Amino acid sequence: MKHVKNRRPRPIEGIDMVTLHGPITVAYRRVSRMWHCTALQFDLVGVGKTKVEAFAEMRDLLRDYLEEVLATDGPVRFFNPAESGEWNVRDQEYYNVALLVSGGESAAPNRTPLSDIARLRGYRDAVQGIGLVPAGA
Amino acid sequence: MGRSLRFSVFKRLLGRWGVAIKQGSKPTHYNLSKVIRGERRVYTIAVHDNEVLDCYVHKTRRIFELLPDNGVSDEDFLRK
Repeated sequence: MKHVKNRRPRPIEGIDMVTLHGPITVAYRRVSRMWHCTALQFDLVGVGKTKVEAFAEMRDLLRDYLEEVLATDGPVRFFNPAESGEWNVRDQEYYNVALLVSGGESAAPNRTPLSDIARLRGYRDAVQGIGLVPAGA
Repeated sequence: MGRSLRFSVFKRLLGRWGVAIKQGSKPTHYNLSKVIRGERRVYTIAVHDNEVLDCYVHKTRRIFELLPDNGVSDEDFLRK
């Protein structure tokens, strides 16, 4: 088998990756034999038998959530911070939200602050995908 | 309250409290939304085995202001 671990992904023509500046905090907790993985800025939680399963569900829920809020016209609340106790959990990771956007370099501005995510509603038709990348990667 | 609910019960309760529900990108994902004081709030949950886990019930009630702190007791929430 060919070793491809360090190979950089080949860019897709016409698709840019726009990373939002400012990480989201992901906290893990064990709740009665299950793992809960919470995106604290949005209070979205994935549940699974392992941390990996819980993270994958949270990531998919966050994707659905962001697609929904970006598609909403009029005033919308983007952030639903989790309750204070959940922010004190020690097992935390940090991720940046990345959007795959079509339309070339003039499409959505890269490094848009996460707090200004509402600005991306203007580009919602160009968003082809939403994902999470480890902060600092 | 701290208890899970059958999805059919949860869906009925949300409807009575004015929270819209629609399926997300997966059959197990649902987007919930309601306009509160002129601003739309959105929340997304997962439903497995036709059951809504207590964490989703609590967080949904919190985001849509349906907790005792908001004047909605557990009994009121379930009775409506």
